[in-house]
Amino acid sequence: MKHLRPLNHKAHTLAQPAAGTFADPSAPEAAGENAATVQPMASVVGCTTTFDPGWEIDAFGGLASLCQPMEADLYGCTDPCWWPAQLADSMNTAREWTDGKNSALRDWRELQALFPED
Amino acid sequence: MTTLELQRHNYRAVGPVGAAGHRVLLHVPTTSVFELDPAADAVLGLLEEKSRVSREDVQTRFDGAYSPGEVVDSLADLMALGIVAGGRKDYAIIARPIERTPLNTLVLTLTTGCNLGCSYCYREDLTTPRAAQVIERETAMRGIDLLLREAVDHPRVNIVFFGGEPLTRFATLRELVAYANERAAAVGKGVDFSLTTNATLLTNEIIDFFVAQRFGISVSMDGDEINHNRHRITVGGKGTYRQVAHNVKKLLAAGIGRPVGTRVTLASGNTDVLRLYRHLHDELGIAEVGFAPVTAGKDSPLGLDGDEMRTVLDAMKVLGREYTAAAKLGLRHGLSNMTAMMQDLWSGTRKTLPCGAGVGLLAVGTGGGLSLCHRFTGTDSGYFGDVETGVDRAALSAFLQQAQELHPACRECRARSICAGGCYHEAYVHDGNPLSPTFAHCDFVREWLDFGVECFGEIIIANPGFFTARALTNTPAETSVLTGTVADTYH
Repeated sequence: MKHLRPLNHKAHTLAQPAAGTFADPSAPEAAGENAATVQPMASVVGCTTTFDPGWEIDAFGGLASLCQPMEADLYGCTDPCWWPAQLADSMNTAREWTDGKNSALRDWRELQALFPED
Repeated sequence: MTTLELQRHNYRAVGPVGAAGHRVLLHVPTTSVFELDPAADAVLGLLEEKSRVSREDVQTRFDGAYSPGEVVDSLADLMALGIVAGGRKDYAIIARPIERTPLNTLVLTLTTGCNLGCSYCYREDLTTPRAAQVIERETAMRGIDLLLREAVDHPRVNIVFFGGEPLTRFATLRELVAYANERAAAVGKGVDFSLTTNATLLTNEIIDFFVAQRFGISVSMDGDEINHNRHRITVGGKGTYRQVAHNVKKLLAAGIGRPVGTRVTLASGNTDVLRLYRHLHDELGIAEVGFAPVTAGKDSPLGLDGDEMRTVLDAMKVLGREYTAAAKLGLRHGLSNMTAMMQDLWSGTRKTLPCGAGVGLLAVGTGGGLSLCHRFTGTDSGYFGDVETGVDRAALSAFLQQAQELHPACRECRARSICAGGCYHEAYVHDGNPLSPTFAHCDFVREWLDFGVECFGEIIIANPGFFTARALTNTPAETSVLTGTVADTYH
């Protein structure tokens, strides 16, 4: 925003979409194309030590409660931190996927591939 | 050749405001507020004049006046906000299922009986104290259990005592406070109490109790003696001003920890808002004074007619300007309608529901049924569960889902993000349908909002720190929930 000076809280978030993540997540378009730009994940070094999958949909079947935009996965898992995984969705369809495998560091071999059920 | 169209439903520009004399713009889909610089103002002005412009129009108009860069950037800003677009631009908010939301406030209707018989009272089941239905102690306790159970993520909960006149049931009230304190402590939560009262039954003992329990108190009072006694009369028909004023003075002198608020019901003949405010705030010393037109059916003689609404709005603007002048100096003013609207504008509230009824707040009727809010207890509009069986989540969810749908009539309205259709109860009284917009008040709401945006701009340009300071935290949240019908709508 060059010619509109933000006066309230909401206007500040709208005016600086690139500096943060999303503007108001329920009206991402409102700030124009910039607001929809997905920022690559911030932690490059830590991304394999913190096991932090992003979810395609939230527990309610929507997008509103995602902690990151789903596209963050795509960017987070390519350069510079490539991770060849389509992760299991342990909030919805594969809830038991990590049961008993509490430490990614120790138990990662135990995490099994999933196959579609007949 | 591309043309650009102005999207009038997505903004409202008011002003000029402040020393620089710029216009202030409300972005309706997000409730963002911006100050326009001269270039953006001129570009918007051209579009307002023509509604639809081509690139050529823009070029011809601004050649020499503003640099092409300034014009293009201004247009880009306006386009980014969807105020200018190639075709109709809507930001539909998709209704989200509200399946389970933690409660934080429960209103307990202690009794349907009141020692007064105010001529404009909205309670359908209001009776004298002798004929009243009162809530059983056990029922109220189950209500308190329900609140603590449902307040999953909240470290503090609010219990609001309501009636009828809740002080006709003071013994029960005292027991319930003890019970709530004990149960809340057991589950590691805090509990705040408040009540709305006509103040006729306040005694020293009761006042001491309220001070000790840090009650938030809202007194229903209509102003000075003549105005107050017009509608606020005993069951026998006598005016109650003297007794109420006497008790309110005692209450204020007792130094109750939280600000005492009052809500004034404006009914036909009682529209001298300035005089009422001066009396209640300046003379009696009540900290927060809010005004709300009476809830009345279409043909009721009590309702305000168009001329009276005009008078009320003009007077509220006089007080609103006082509020603005005070705020620019960093001082607070007691007009709570204004405080509420400034709060909404500062935080950029964008409502899909008009209020918290059914989301964070439910009310318990004397029989234990759960209603959307205190105003629906005792009506025949049905219940959303009861204190024994719990909240009827399916019914409540369905209602809230419907309530989120933008009414077609609201689509073009600039107040839609602040008003969201208005008070359910007001609509229920007018149209028999809580989900209908409160059409009777639309013009009033829009004009009050425009005024608010202008004042907001003036305050924040002159005194940018005002809203981050303590100035807006004076109204206890639960009091503002109860400031009633149109006060809710006009926040």
